[in-house]
Amino acid sequence: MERVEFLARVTAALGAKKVPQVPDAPAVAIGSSQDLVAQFVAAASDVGASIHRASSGAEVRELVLGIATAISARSFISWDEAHLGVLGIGPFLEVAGLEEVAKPGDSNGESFLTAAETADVGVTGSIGGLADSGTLILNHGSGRARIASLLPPVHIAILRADQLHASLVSFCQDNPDALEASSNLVFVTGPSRTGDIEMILTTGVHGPKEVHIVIVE
Amino acid sequence: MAKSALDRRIAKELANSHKSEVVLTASKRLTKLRVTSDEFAPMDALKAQARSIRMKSLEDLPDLLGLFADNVQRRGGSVFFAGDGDEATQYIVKLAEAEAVSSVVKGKSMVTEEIELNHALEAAGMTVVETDLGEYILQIAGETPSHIVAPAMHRSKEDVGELFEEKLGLPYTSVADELNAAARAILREKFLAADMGITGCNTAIAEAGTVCLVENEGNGRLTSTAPRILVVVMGMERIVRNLEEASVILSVLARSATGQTLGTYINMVSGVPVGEVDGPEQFHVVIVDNGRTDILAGETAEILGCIRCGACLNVCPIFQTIGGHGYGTVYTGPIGSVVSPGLLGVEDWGELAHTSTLCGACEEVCPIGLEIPRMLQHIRTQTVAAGHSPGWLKVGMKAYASAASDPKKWSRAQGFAGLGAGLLRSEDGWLKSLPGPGRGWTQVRDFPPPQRKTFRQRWGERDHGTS
Amino acid sequence: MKAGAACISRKRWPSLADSEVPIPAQATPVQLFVTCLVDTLAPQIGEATVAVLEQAGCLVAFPSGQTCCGQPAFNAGFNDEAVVMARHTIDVLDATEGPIVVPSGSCGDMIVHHIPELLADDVAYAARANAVSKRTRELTQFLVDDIESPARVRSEESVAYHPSCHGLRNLDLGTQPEVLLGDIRRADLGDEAEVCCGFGGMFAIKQAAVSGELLTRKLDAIDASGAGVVCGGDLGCLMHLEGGARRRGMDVSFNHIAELIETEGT
Repeated sequence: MERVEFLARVTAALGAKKVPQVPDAPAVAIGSSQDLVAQFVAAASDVGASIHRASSGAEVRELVLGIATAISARSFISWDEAHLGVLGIGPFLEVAGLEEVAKPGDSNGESFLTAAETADVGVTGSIGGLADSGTLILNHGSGRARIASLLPPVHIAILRADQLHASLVSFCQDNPDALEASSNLVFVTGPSRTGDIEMILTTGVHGPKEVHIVIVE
Repeated sequence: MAKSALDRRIAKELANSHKSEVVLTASKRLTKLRVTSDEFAPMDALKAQARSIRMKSLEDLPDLLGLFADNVQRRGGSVFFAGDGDEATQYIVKLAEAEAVSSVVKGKSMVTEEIELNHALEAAGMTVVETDLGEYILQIAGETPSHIVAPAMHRSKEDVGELFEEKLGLPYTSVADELNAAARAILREKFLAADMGITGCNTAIAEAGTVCLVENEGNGRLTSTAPRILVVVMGMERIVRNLEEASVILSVLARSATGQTLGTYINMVSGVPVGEVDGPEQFHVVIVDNGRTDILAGETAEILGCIRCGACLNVCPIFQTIGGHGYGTVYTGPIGSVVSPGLLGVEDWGELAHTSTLCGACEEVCPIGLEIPRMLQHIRTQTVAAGHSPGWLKVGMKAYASAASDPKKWSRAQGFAGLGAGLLRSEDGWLKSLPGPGRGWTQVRDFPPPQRKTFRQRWGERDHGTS
Repeated sequence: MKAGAACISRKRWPSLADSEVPIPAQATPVQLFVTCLVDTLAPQIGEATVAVLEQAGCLVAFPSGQTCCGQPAFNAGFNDEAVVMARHTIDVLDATEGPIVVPSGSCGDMIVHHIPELLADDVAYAARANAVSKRTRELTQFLVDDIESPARVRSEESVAYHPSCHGLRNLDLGTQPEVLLGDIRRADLGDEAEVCCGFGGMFAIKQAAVSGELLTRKLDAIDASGAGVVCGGDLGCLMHLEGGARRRGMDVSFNHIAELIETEGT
């Protein structure tokens, strides 16, 4: 159907005035802005993410390597260095013997996905976090592959402590144009999970089974 | 009374006590998980804002849809407006054919079930794989979903183990972890090989041309990322104006559905990525009417404000008893009892509106405050106006109303009722078996004994002294 | 089942002339809307309601023209018939003054909410329906919120309370019955307390099997709670529950809350 006709039909239906008149409800403030880091750590732990704290680039690199080593990772994919917020993570992992199986500069397509699928670990940055839910905000885009936070069984995300927001609502109130800057803005709260089989909670269904958040203060 | 298809379906569900038990346990568990406390978010205020946003979105719908379409196109996507389900499926099938699509992966989407999209694609020769774990289980079993949010809730883990063994040739296990791991491996291959991904839409954001998908598994993200063509199918009413409004809806959605603060993945997809290493090459949004404008013009218009959280299903005593399959429709539970007659006709589905005690638990839990009992009562009046009531009820109601508007007639009628009942009483006074339509009562319980005098008679005989 | 206990009221039915409880000079005059079910099937509940109100210091009038508020028709979708009964009910009640007390949450809900909706476009009735709506009070609301009566439920056995859905959700009758129940021994229905019992008016007949399943579920909860008495505010629910309990041979009594209320000194 043509757009004009479709919308005209909707307009005609609205002429019957059957949608309830509802008073304007004031914007609700959600979440408290006290000690966002503590809240975030508690909430993220609640949903099964592992929290690591760092106060320098060197500490971040060590932590990332430590996580990868703990799971005997042999390969990784990563966001472009510029979007990780910390330099040298890729090379640091390579020196330790891990292989970067698909690079941010690679071209799109099946081969990139197939290569990425073999990665044991995915490393990303973030543009912030939500304290009341323990959520990472990932602004996928150029140099920030979507599948880095999706295909590998282990996802490591680097998050700056000064980029925490009280809640989803407060982030969206403060960043009304966030959608323009990313082709795929994703809010990640813990590892992939399902209760579809008899409500028994299992993790790592399609997305990562482990989510590690390195908070940089 | 002749048994309708609905009655037969309900009888079948009630007879399956294993399934009934699983449905009841799952519903009660989800009901308990629902967030009701104000600990981190003032729920009442949030729900009031959510209602306001949804109702205003309905009022502004033509404007929002136009804005949305412009912005989807601005960001490299295409929009198709489908007047009905057939138009929608034809567009998608033609697209698949033109793009030499042979395999399709799908995220969970009620509207695609509503328009029977899988069937149309398969008829055109494409393979369609449902990737939401619950939907995948159903696809293998050849069943329909029984719940909006937990589509395979009626299946126990042993059921699923047997199913995987029989249909996929996997060694039997009833350990959920192992079943999930098996499904993950199988579906991972499908994601990476698929030509087209099809998802639904939790809410569209008009000002950004963005589609929001909410999920816990990650299959929606994979469906919208891996294949080269992405098709999003959305009911026309699933839209808000901007990111802030979306954040309010998203904040009540998971809290009401499963008790989570937010769903694991809130996936906001905007257009076709440029200069990026992954993501689809084509982005199509199919906006579906399929009877929604008719609902919008009627007394149940506000039902289009539903955000598909499933809270009403979980708390409904009827849903808990007959399960989603008892309804026989894509949309089940309280929301389904309003939407299905609206989309599919009161003629065939008005009966669903009678399959309720109007207890109001649904309205109480609904994050949008939808007045479901009011709308069910309205549909009941439509069934009566269409002449669908049993003859005895039509006659009985008229007679009842006539007696009730005349106190003398009323007293006489009470007298007759007392006499008649007196003939049926058993030893302890209670009636074990009533004739005619009353059979329905005594099928499961006794009926109280007739009283020799009514209240008004006793009042009349009371010595009221002087006042 | 308590032998021969076919819902015999525990309240006396004193004649006003020789009542041991003098009606005070400043008695609150109230109108009793007794409900069609109580009138026909359980008049003792009406008597108990009158006794409770009189003992609380009210002068009770019974507008004799009352019949049925129209809820059975309304719930079944028969709006035309419901309007006929609504108009009659307004005619009767509008000719009176003072609070209208109803021993039923669902009938109370009908008069307070749905009759005004049904008659909203009826020029002759709209304003009168609104006026009657404002005067109408369910019994526990009246006793607790309006006159702050000291009357309380008395029982030697543990009591389970069944909050009927319309009263609970549409009239907000959450706390009032709890206040009246005071600190007597309670039997706990847990998560099942606020789940619909499955009566639902015509639903009980048209969907008898589903109604029966919900009945079984509620009776199981009552059984598990160890209640000796089940009390509630709506005869429809109570009839359905008691009818099922008898069928099942359960040793539990069922009473309307009015039948269990006593005031100190009576």
